[in-house]
Amino acid sequence: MADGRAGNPPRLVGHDQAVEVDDSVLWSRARTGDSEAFGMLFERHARTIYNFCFRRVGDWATAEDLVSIVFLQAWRRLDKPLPRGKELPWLFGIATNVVRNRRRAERRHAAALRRVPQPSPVPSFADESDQRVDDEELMGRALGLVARLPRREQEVFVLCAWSELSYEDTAIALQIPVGTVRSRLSRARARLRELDPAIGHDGERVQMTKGAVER
Amino acid sequence: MKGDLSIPPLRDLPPGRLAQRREHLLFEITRERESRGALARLWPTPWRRPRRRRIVVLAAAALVVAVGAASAIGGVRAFFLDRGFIGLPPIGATPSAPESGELVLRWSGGSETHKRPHWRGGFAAPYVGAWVYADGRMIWWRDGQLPEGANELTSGYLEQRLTPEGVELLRSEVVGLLDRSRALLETIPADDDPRPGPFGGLVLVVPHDYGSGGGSAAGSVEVRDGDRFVRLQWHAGITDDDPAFEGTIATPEQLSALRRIDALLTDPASVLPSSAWAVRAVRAYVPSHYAVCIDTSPPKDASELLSLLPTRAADVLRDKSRTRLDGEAFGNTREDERMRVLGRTVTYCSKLATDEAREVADAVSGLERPSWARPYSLVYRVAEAVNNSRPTTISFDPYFPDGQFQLWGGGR
Repeated sequence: MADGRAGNPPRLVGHDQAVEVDDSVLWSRARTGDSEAFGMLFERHARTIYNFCFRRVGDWATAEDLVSIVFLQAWRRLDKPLPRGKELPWLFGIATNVVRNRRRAERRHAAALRRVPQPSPVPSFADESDQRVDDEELMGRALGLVARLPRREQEVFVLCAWSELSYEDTAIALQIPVGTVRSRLSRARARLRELDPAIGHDGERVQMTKGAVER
Repeated sequence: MKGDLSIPPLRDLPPGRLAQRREHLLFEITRERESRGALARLWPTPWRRPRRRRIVVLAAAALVVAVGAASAIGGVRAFFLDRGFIGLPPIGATPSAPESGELVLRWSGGSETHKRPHWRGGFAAPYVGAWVYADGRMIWWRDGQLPEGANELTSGYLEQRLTPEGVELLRSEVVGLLDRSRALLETIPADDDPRPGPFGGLVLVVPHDYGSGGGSAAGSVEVRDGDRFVRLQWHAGITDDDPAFEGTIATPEQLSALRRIDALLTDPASVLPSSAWAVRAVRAYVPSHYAVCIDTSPPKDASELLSLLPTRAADVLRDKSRTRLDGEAFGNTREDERMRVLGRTVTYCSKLATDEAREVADAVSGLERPSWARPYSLVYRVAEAVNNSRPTTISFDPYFPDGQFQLWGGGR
């Protein structure tokens, strides 16, 4: 994906010059109670998780809410030691679970909605809103197809193909062996090809998807 | 389109939402951490069985869903207000967190940066107040019309967040100016009288055409030095008719530094680099507590003033501790336009949680809100002025994170 997976990396600033801090350091600092460090992790990866959530639910507004829930869940699980550099796969794992549990939460969601005060209007980002409507339509079609896979294959497919995680990172996210990732992905690809051999004839955006399916 | 697996490109969160979401996340974390601490105190470890923990986790999750649900229909704006307000916040608005913070620097004065041609000729320089805290919060207000403002005349108290680098940048600029003006500096306690600064004293004399012109520009900047503040005041066009002031004429370097600080503190969004901002998005400052003050002139006992209030308001205030502030009423008479002391005043202030303040405000809501205060502060007239004195008023002003408040009600 040409436009990259994560947002602009934030910087911690010392006395003399700006120093980039990697996720592991921020994670460690967050574990000691440094909420600013956790805030920086959020800034760094919110966009990635936002897009992942969108690709699981097909709705930008819901994806935005899910991002908040993912990071709050992540904070609650900060006590878990992670292998160095595996913070993002871990976030993907939490996001996968949050998306999975979303339907169960929806009833409480609706009940909670009735209790909260009426919000003030949302700022306009009209120049992008048409694109976002198109996105949701396009995503709906893709999800319609992926939904025909078993849930476990869907999860592997979305992480490997649409979020471009490595097999190893996908294994960390889903807490399954790497071999299982390979086999599920293989089955998912085969099933998708069975469902429609003509998958992906839609210009530039298809390149990535088609590659993922045929990899 | 059967079989199309095309997916849309990656997109950013809608404008401003990343900062809002981050803010909200950190707020939730802080709140949850505090409630965990309280939980641990209530239920010692052997008591906190897995089932209980699960209930607590489920309750917290429901809270998250509630917040998420609100966001789905309007961003977190249901809690974080994107416009200033006058008086008490809407019910449900999330207070600024953490509740307390260490004040690093404070600014108030007519802004050279924002001066605009006035329709009657000359310039108008809106008054600006800004407070910067060690935790990065910058709380400010400005006269005039702003997109985030409470009304056409003033912004109300607004909040943004700086990074540690941003705080240091502002502090070092102010310290630089103060270093150039050592002979004019005053040292004041950190918990100095919360009313507007002293009328008079040592000042840096700025040119007659500074600010709004006509010699009316004035202001002060204060920076923390340990448990005290160092203050520099400036004033334009002092003449022999202003015996309250004395000072030295600003050098070009001092004037340039003052202009730079003015720009930094009154238009930070345009001037500060992006690395200085933790949250550039502006939102209302929502305090946790209010100073509810009764002001009158000439001075009277608190009990006498409480007896003038509706019973329900008096009942809430009677048991609260009070701070008595004695002062002088400044003004001019028809015969003489010069400012002078017209009489003695007394102000009794109690610190109330927002809900308690709301109860008092509800009880006095039948009283008149004087037109001079209405755009700026929640003030009710309790009793009319007698002779040359001031009317008796009750006002509701927000507490800042450093435990101070800015008294508007009786001061204007």
